[in-house]
Amino acid sequence: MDELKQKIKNTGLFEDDDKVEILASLDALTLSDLKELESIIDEFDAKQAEIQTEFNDKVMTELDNIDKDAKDEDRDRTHHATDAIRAGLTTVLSA
Amino acid sequence: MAENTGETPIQQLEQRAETPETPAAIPESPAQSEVLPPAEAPVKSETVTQQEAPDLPETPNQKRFRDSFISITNDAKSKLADLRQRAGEKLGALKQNDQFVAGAKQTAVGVGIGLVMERLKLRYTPNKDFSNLAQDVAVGLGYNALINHFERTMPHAKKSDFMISSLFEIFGRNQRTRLDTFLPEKPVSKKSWIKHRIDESVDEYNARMKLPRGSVDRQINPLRLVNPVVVSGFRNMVAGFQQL
Repeated sequence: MDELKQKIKNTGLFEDDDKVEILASLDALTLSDLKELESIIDEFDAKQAEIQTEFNDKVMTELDNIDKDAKDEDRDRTHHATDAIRAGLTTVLSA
Repeated sequence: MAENTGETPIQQLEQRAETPETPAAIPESPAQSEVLPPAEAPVKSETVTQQEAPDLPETPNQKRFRDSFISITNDAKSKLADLRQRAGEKLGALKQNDQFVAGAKQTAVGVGIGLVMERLKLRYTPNKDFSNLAQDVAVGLGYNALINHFERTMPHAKKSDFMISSLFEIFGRNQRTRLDTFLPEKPVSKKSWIKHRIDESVDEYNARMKLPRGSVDRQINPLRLVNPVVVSGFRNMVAGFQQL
């Protein structure tokens, strides 16, 4: 039960107010419902992480392509700019 | 606490999200934000700044990146919406407890990704005890504060708003909150518990800011409650986009 409570606290599926509501209602759920709830949260969080990774990869690929397509005289400036975006995006998504 | 207007402090703060925020320097590091200084007086009006730095046309690379970013964002939004919808349907199947089901369905199905901007969760300062006040300020005002701050302090930052709004919209919810610090050990009345936490948080915020009791609503600078790491990341993205 403690592990499930922790998952409820950490999941991106529920708003905080709803987490309070759900945690307060856990005792009323059957064992099978608790397992199903945990399964739903696990699946949601795992797939949400996949979507975030895919989003990050696609943006990084586009930045790589912009780098590759830069003209020689613009290469350094372009790479400096794309690097800043890469660093920023990584920071935001990992915060 | 704030003057008694019949509204909660958070409702009052959310209403103020519609008005321009007081400009102030953002925290540069988590360590610096441990002690929050009082809000500073405006040093420059937004109008003046905009006159000094009119938006320039997008460069070809900026347009290329913007178009790609928006396309990638829309794809992620769509997938997240489908994911949330499926989770909501599964939650709806938990029929043993009507109250639980009602709450869960409202959460997962009724709240569309695009409609929850003001409720998105942005992790805020590393201060441990800001709890609900800091969280709701960050959620309700952090986005606006961040956009306003960049537009005041960085040339042509308005062109980068699409990155900030997109990331808030699709992944802001994914930011872990400090909820685990404040959840009660035993089930209690949700309404009374939240009110208690808000009252405590407002009082503590006033104390930390060395403000008189009741002044938090007028003095608060929401940007100070946004996680400085997130601010730093967005600053890099905005700066990079300007150079692209």
